[in-house]
Amino acid sequence: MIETPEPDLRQQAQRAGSLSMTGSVATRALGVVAIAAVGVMALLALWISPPDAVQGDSVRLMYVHVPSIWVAYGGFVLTAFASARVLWRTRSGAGGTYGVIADRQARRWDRVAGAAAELGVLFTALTLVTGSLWGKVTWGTYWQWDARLTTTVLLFVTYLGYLALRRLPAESRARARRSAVMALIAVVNLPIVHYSVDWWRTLHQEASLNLEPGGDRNITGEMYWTLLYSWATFTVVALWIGIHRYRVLRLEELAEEASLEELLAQRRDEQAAGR
Amino acid sequence: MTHAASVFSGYVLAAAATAAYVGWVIRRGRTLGRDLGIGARGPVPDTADESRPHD
Repeated sequence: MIETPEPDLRQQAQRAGSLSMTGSVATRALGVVAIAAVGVMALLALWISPPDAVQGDSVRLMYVHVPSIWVAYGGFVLTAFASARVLWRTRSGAGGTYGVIADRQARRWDRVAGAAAELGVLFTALTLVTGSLWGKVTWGTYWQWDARLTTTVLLFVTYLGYLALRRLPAESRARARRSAVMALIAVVNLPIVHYSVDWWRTLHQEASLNLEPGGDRNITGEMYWTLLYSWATFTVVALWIGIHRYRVLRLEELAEEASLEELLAQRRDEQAAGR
Repeated sequence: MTHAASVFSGYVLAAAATAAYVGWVIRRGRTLGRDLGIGARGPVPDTADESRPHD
């Protein structure tokens, strides 16, 4: 099944004067907002927010470390939600045909799952690297196999596996369904990572922000607002990249279908010539 | 490692990794658009030898 290339991709890119196929007026505006927000975040995090009484300036790593994992959590939750939608739209009796995803919505949710998981992996990697640097100056070591760090590495490796599974050659419907199943299994680790500091004795500190009603805030004042602002900035950046990645996945599908059509046409020509 | 060095390394690494990923996504989109002949500036003209007018 070949769909004609969606004209909106090209029109969007032309309107935005974009050299890529993934730009649009909206993503260009979002990109400008994201870059400006990053600039303000750097100002708040590196100059305006005060050093910590105990940790000194190293606390500034928190403004990258904590929002990174929050955005990664968001990406993985979105992957699970989109995967559930894929499984629902491609279930037997839902009008899907064997071999390819006939349902347009299922294809879209599959792309959402792929883009969100990739961003989740990127931001989990940033969390691990910045956490390691922060650990060196506060704990005296880059790494400890404590519950929070170990479960986070497991989360990272699991989603790397998910991305690898998405790349295995298979019929699009089968690939989307098995990836969706894995995403729903992988997301089980998310609450384990989050609550690991409460469930086990860990070197890692407890949650930076207590979001439960009436809970004590571990952070207040400029640090609190800088952390929230950093989280908003990371969310906008992730959204911006995610939209581009979603559109690239659409192009990858088109390229795959085009090459399949080309192969089939070649085979038909060979058969016709052989008669 | 001093506090300043760890903060600097963390911010630079985060910025570099994100920028590298953005660059890869944009380049991939551009390449695929060109390969499919649906680039933002329209289909890429075929510049292969056989398509050139013969002298």
